[in-house]
Amino acid sequence: MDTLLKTKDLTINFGGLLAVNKVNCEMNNEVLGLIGPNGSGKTTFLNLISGIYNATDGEIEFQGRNITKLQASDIRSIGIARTFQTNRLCLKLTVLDNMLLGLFSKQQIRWWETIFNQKKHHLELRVNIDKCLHVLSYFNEELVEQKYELIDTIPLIDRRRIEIARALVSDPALLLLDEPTAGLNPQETHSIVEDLKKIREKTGISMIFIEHDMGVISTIADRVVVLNAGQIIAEGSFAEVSKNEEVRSAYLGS
Amino acid sequence: MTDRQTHLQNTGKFVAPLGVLIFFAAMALAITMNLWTTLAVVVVLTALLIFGEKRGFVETAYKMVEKNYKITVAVFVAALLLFPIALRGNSYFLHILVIAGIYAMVALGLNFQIGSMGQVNFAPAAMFGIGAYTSAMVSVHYGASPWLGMIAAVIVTAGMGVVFGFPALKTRGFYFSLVTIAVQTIFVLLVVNTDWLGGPNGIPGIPAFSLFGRSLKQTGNLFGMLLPYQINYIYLTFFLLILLIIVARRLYTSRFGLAWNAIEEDEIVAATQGINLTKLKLLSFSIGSVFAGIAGSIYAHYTSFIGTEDFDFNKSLILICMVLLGGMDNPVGVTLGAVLLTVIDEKLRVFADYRMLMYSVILIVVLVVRAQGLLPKRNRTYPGTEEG
Repeated sequence: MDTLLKTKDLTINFGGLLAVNKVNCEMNNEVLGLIGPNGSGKTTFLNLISGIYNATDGEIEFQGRNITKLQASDIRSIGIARTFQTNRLCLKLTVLDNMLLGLFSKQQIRWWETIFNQKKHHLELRVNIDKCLHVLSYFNEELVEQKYELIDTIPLIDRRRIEIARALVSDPALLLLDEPTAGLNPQETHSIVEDLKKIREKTGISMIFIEHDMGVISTIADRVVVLNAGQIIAEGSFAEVSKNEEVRSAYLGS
Repeated sequence: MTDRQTHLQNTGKFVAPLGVLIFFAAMALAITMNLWTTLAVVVVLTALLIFGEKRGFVETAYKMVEKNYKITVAVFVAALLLFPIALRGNSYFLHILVIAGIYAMVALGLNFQIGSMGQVNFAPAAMFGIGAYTSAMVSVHYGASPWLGMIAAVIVTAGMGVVFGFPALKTRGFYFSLVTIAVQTIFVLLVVNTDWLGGPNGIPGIPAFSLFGRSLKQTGNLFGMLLPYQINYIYLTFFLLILLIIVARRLYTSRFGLAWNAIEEDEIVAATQGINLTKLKLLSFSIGSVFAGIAGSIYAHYTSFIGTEDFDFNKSLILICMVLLGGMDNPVGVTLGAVLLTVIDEKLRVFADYRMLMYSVILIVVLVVRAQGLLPKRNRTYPGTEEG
């Protein structure tokens, strides 16, 4: 199988702090768990891939294409979507509008067409709304009913679902999840993980998954990469990694 | 269709057009009577909106208009056409209407930055001025038709919007506002110190528009009624204003309006949704500037004299107030705000030196009572695309 994502000596330097240091990582179509202690560069690694930060050194290749220099907006268009650790939906917009934002890069309509060609505009909008509601209903039917509600009024668990749905709606090939279960109780965590498993089975989408809950990692991740101080210290299946001495001392504890 | 919807449709058929007529009657009062009547209209309108929102009347009113869109718009347009004719006796009232329409266009353009994108631009008057000066120079110096002047104004302001939009790419919030204040100041200083642009004397003798070989400065005659020339300009302004409102509304419901809102809330999230921040910001600035440019062109050819005092920093502040008072990111609200503030501004002339003081007091009171503006932004619903 072709390599989906490959980083070569990926490095970022924040004024002397090497947040990510020469990371060589390769992934195919799989669910990759990314674990490590706080400050080990997990989120920075995702920020580098999703184009929010520009790498100081090294390369990122996605589906055989060098994407190191691409802007965040282009990264989304070529099929990498992400969620954030703290829920970052647009609070002043409705559920549906947040979902439609996820489709921005998939829409072809030009700004003058939205003014002078209402027919095309409505046609495209209709298709997009149907698609958004379809993806939402996959997570929670109730959210479809609440499509015109402001995000302000939606509980945290549903906000997480909306954020994942917003990432999925543009049919990405790779989904970057930054602690999707942070702040949720065990039942809610379970329900999100089940949703993600279903999505993985149904669409075969690849995921990179940052997580602190080892139970979640062991059920969903095909492979685990452990970061510490910006470097990969171990990778392999969860069972292999959890036996590794260095990982135990750096993160898991004995 | 549910009972409630049928009910809305049946009663709305009469209530919505009636509401439009009452609104025009109130506006007529506000324009023709003294300051206190104008203030009373503003107070009643604000109170109606506040209590109406609490009781859900405002939402019902919106629904009624939505369900009976065609008849409401028809009544509105008819009232709009007859309104200036009813006021034909006093050309000063008509003048207020033209100016209100012109400022409404600038405020609509400004709303793309302040309302949609949350970037407070303190230079709308500079854009307005660039439009006016371009149009005036083209027709005075080169003797071209004022319509060509307007086209030139559109092209120049679109370009200027892009140029002035560049600071917005690097700065945001207060820093961006500071840059726009600099732009505004530079514009005034540059014009005052350039003899070619009339310097401190301004540009006099700007020709009027003409349509079908007839100058818009000619008085008209309709069934024996003498119509002052301002009526021609009112129709021109209203026509363009309605076009611009339609453009603004269409952009608001498009993916671009949505993207601007996303940029306002969180630029990083917007970028990760595939929104190109550079393109979208420059689009907002250049479209907004074009609105100001069109307004500037009409202003120049209407007043036939322009000077920098028409486009100074105070004018920018007033334009920002129009957007804030009317309601951010709601084109209809912004237009209402522009009309009300223009009328109040004119009525305050009785206070002479204390005019700006009174103006500020009124603004503060209205904004304390209703911080979100008279007609605030509404959540997007997509009625034309409902499933089923």
